[in-house]
Amino acid sequence: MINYDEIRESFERTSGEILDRAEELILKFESETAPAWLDELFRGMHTIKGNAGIFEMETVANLAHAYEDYLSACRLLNGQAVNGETVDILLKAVDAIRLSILEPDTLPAEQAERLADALKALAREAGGNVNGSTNGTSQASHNVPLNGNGNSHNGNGHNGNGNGSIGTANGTEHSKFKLKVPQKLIEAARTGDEYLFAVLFLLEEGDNHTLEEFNNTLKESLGNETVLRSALINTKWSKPGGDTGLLLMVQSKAHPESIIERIPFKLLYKKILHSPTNGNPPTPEENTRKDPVVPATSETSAADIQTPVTRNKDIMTVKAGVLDKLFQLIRETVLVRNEHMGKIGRHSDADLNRSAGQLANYISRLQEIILKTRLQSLNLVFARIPRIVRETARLSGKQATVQIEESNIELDKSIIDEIADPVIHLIRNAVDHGIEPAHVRLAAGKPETGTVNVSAVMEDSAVVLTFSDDGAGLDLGRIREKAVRNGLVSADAAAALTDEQVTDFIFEAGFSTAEKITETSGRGVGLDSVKTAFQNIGAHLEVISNPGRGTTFRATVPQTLSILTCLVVTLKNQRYAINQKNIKELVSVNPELLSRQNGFRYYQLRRELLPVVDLTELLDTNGNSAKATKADSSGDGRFIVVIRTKLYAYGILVNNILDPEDLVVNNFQHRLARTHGLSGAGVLGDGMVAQVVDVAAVARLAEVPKMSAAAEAHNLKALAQAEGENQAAADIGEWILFNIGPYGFALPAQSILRLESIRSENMEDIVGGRIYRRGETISHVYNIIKGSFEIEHLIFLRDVGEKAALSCSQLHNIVHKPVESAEADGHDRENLLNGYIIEGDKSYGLLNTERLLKAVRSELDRRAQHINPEDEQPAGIEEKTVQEALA
Amino acid sequence: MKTITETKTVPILTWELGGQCYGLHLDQCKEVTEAMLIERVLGAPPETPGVVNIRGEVLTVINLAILLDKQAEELKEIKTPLIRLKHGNIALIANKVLDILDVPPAEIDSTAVRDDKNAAYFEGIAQTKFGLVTVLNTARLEN
Repeated sequence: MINYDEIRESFERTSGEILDRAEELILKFESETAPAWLDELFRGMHTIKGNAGIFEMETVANLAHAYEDYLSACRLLNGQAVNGETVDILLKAVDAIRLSILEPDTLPAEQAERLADALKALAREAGGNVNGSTNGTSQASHNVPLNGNGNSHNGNGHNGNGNGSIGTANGTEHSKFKLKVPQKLIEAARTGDEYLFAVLFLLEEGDNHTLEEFNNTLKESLGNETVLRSALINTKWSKPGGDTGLLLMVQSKAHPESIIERIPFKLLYKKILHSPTNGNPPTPEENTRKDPVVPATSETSAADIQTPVTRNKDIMTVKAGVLDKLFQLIRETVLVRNEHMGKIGRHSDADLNRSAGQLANYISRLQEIILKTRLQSLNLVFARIPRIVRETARLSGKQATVQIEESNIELDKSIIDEIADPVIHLIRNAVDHGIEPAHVRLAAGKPETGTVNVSAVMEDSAVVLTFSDDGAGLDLGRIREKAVRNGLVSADAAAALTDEQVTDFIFEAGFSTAEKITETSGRGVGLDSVKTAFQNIGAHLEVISNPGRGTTFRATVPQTLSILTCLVVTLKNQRYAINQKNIKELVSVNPELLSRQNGFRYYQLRRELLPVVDLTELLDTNGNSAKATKADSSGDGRFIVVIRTKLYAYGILVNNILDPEDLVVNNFQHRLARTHGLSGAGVLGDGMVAQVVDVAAVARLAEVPKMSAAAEAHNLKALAQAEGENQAAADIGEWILFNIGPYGFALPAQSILRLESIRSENMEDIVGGRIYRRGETISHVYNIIKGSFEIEHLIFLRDVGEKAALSCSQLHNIVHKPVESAEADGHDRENLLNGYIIEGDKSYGLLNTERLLKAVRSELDRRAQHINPEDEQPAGIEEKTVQEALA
Repeated sequence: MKTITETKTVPILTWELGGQCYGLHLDQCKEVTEAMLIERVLGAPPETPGVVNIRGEVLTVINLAILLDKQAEELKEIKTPLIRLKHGNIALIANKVLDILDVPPAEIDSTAVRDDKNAAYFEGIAQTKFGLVTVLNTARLEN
C-alpha cells in the first residue's frame, strides 16, 4: 500500500533542500553565473517540476519550467554576473515555489503568472529564447498541449508513469496525458532483465499509413527488439486537423537510445520505465527529451521523488518523533541508572559494583550516541543569513555584506529549531539598526558597505555564536533616556547605572529607540523574545557595544539537550549542580582569608583576590534568607567552588561538596524561566532535586568584573610558562601538592587540567594497565608508584588532556610557595627537579613535568600498540628512582 | 408513565487552598499526589515557589492563591498535596484535595467571574456542595 502522505512529505522535504540550495546559488549570481551553478540549479528545478506533476501542482510546475527557461538562456551569459533586480525576481520565484509546495493554492494565480512572465522576460534579456529548448528539444512542441491516450499501465522502479498535467510554455493551457503501463509488462522486463521504455514520435504530413504499415516499418528498423504495444494517437495540437503521434512501448536488451536512433520519425518524448540491473537508471534528462513530462500516478513510490543529490547508502531518514522517543527513554534510563548506582554504591560487593559500573558506562555511551543522532548542521540556520542581509539592506537602503565563519558545527535539532528565528532577527537588527547609511559611514571614514560577521565556535561543550556588525554601536544615552521615559527606571537611578545595565534595557519587551517603524523593525518587538528563545534552550545571550565600531551579540548555546556532568554541592540544605566544565578547582575555606569590601566578598586565593558569591544572599530576592553581615563574612561556606569561564573568574561559597553526577537537566519553564542565576533543575540519584547554577548569570548578577584582556594575557603567559620547564627556577609558583602513599609530590598547578576522585573498583583492568571510563572517554591511569588505595585521586595533565591521568592517594591544596633548594647528594634525580615545596611540616618533591609527560606519552604509545608489559621495561618513572630521590 | 430527564454532567476535581475552593475538569488533571516536598527556587516569583520531582520529571509548582491575589500569604508549609496538570509540567498547590464532583456544564457560570484582571485563568464559577468553586482554565496556566 503506497502511503500518499509519505510521498508528499518526501517531496516537500527534497524540494525544500533544493530550494535552500537554490537560494544559496542565486545569491552568488550577483558575482558570477558559473556554469556548474546553473547546471545544478537547472537539475534542481527540473526535479521539482517533474515531481510537482505527481501532485498536480500546476503553479509549481509552471514556475519551475519558467525557471528552467531562464537558466538555459543564462548559459549564454558565459558566467557574467546578473544585477540585483534579477536576483530579486529569482529569489521571489523560489519563495513562490516554496509556498506553493507547502501551502498549495495560497499563492494568487495572477502573482504566479506575473513571476513566470518575469522569468521569461529575464530569459529573453539573457539572450535566450523562452520558447527555446531547455533540453535540446524543439521549440514548436513546447507551445502545444498534448492530449492523448496511450496503452495501459503501471510503474515501478525509477520511473513514474500514468496521469498528470503537461504544461505549455506560457503556462496557461493544460491538458491531461495518460500513459498507463500494464504491470505484466514491467514484470516481463524485470524477469528478462531488460529495458522497458515508452516513446512518442511525431508523424509528419504525408505519413498517412495504417498502424500495421508502421509496425512493419518498425520491424525492419528494430530487428529483434520487441515492440510490446503501439498506438496511433491524435495529438490535437497546433492545427484543427491535428497531427498524429505514434506511441510505442518497447522491451529491449539494447539501450533505448540506440533503438530510438534507428526509428525514422521525429522523437517527441521518451520515458524509460525499467532498466536492467547492469544498466544505469535513467536521468531526468534521459527520460524527458521533450518538455512534456509524463508525471506519475498516485501509485508512484516514495523512491520516485528524485533528489538532486546522490543518495548515500550510509544515510537513512529517521522520523524526528522516533528520535524524540529515544531521547525520552535515555533520559529516563539515566535517571534510573543514577538511582541504582547510588543504592549499589552502598554495598560492599565488588563484583556487583564492577558490573554495575560497566552497565552505567554503557548507558553513558548510549546516551552520547543518542544525543549525537539528533545533531543537525548549524548551516541549516546560517544558510538563510546572506539572503536576509541582502533583503534587509535593500529595504533599509543600506549597503551591507556578510561574512560567515562556521566550522561544521552541529546542534541538537530542537536547539536549531529554537534559534532559527532569533538568529534571523539579530541579523535583521544588525543591518537595519547597526549598520549606518553609506553617506554616514563614508563621513566616519568607514567603507561604504557595512559588514555583518557571523561565527560559530565550539568552546568546551558549548557553541558560541557571535553576530557582530561594524556599525555605530548602541547609543547608550538614548537607551538611558528611553528607559526613563518608558518608566523602567527613574532618572536618578538611570544616571547611576553601569553601561552594561543600560545595555540590558534593549531586551525589555516593547523597548525600541528606533525613530521610525520600518518594514523590518522598530516596533520594539523582538529582542526580548530573542533573549527568551535563547533562555528556553539554556543559552545565554549578551551584547557588547563599541561606540562607533559596532555591536556584537554573543550567545553561548549548549550543543545538546542538557545532560550535563555536574558537581553537586549543598547550600542551606538545598542542592545545586554546577557544570564541571566551568569548575577550575575546589578550595577549603580558611575564614581568615575571606573578607568583605564595599559590600562584595573576596577570598585571598594564593596571590589573587578572588570575588566570592553567596548564592543564597545573591538570589534570594524575597529576602527569606538572613543577610550575611561583615562579622559573618564566611556565611556557612566551608568550601569555595572556583569558577572559570571565558569572561569570569570567581568563587561560589558552598556548605558541602557531593559527588559529580550526570544530570538530566529540565530547563526552567513558565514563570521560573525568568529566574536569574538558575537555569533549570535535575533529579539526582537519590531522588532529590538539584538546581543548576547558571555561572555566567550569577557572575553578572553579582557584578563580578569581567576578566580584562590584560588578565587573560597574564593567564596565557602563566600557562605558557607552565608548559615550559624549569619550574624550579621560578621564584614563586603555584603548586598542587599530593601524596602517593607516604611520599609527597608537587606539580605546577598550571600543568593540571582537572582533578577527579573515584573509587578504585570503578577502574577497569586491561592488558598492561588500568583505565577509567567516563562516557565515551577512556583515560589511562598511570601510577608513579605501585600501590592500592580505596579512593584514588586522578590528576589530568593539560598536555595529554583526558587521555591519561596520574593516580595519587591523597590530594592537598594548591599552594603559592617558593621552591626550596636541595643540596646535591650524588643521586640521579632526572625524574625530580632539584628542589622541594615546604608546606607546614612536610616537604613535597618537585616532579619533573617534562620527564613525566614524556613518560606518560610513551606509556600511552605502548598501550596503544598492545605491547606486553613483561616484554619491555616501562618507560615511566621507576619506583626505585622516586624512592631514592625522596630518601 | 414516568419521564426521565437526562442531564449530562462533567467531572470536576475540587480542592481547597487559602480558604477558597478551586476546580478543574478531571480530564485536565494527570494526577493528584500525596503531600510532597517542594524545592524552593531562589529568586523565583512568589506565585511559583519552587519545583518538585515526580518520578524523574521536574515540575514547576504554582501557588494559585498568590497568582490570583498578590496580597495572599506565602505558603509556610513546603510539603503539600499537588494537582498535576495533564500538560505543561505544572503542579498546583492544594491545602486539601476535596472530591470529584459531577457538575452540569451549564452550572459553570462564566458571567459570574468578577476578577477582570485574572479572567483568562477562569472558566467560570459553580455552586457545589462545598460552596462556590472557581473552575480553572488550565490552558492559561500552561503558558
